[in-house]
Amino acid sequence: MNTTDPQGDLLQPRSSADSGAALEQLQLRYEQLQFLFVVALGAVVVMGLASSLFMFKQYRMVRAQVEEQRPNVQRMWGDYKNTSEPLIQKFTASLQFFAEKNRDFQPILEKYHNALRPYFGPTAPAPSPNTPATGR
Amino acid sequence: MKSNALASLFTGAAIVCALTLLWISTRYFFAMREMQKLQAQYSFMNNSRAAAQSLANEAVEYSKRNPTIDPILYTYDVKQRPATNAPAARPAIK
Repeated sequence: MNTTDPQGDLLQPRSSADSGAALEQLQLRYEQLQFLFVVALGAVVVMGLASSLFMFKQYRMVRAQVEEQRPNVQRMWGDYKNTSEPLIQKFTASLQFFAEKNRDFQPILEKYHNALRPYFGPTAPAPSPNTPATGR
Repeated sequence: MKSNALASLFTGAAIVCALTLLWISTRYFFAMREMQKLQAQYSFMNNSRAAAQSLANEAVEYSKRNPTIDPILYTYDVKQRPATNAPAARPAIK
């Protein structure tokens, strides 16, 4: 193989029979390549259709779940906001107030500080004796 | 010529598929986000209720050692008043 001039043989003069055969070969390869391209494109289309179908089914399933859950959760959320939340808020506030005077109740209240964080008032419970004081 | 037409057709179909997939994926994303929001609300309610109930139970336990907490527990019906003849105590925080 001539590495310095890879297309050198194409530029050399040839007989008409040779060039005709080369042209036919090129034509054949071009058609093969075109065929492969069309097949690959067809495969892309099939994959795209399958993916779209799959995603559509997933979307429909999620949508149905949302439609089913939304009214229930909204109703529960409304009930919670109207009844449970004020009660929890008042209850934790009362216990917090109680804990300020009864320090032995403080560790019990402290355990629920993270779980009920939105309902605890601004007066933060005192740190337990084991935890080091933070520099706040 | 026939191959060219087929290639054009497939290219068009691939573009349509890609756009359809994009549209469905976007809708799927928003539906999933809404579902996650609903689930977060639901679990927040459950966790808060469970924590409040557990705190109430611990407060009742604590009241055995220190009855000064009793008025609070009576107020929220966490603990039964001793004078009443009501049946079984029901948890107030639901």
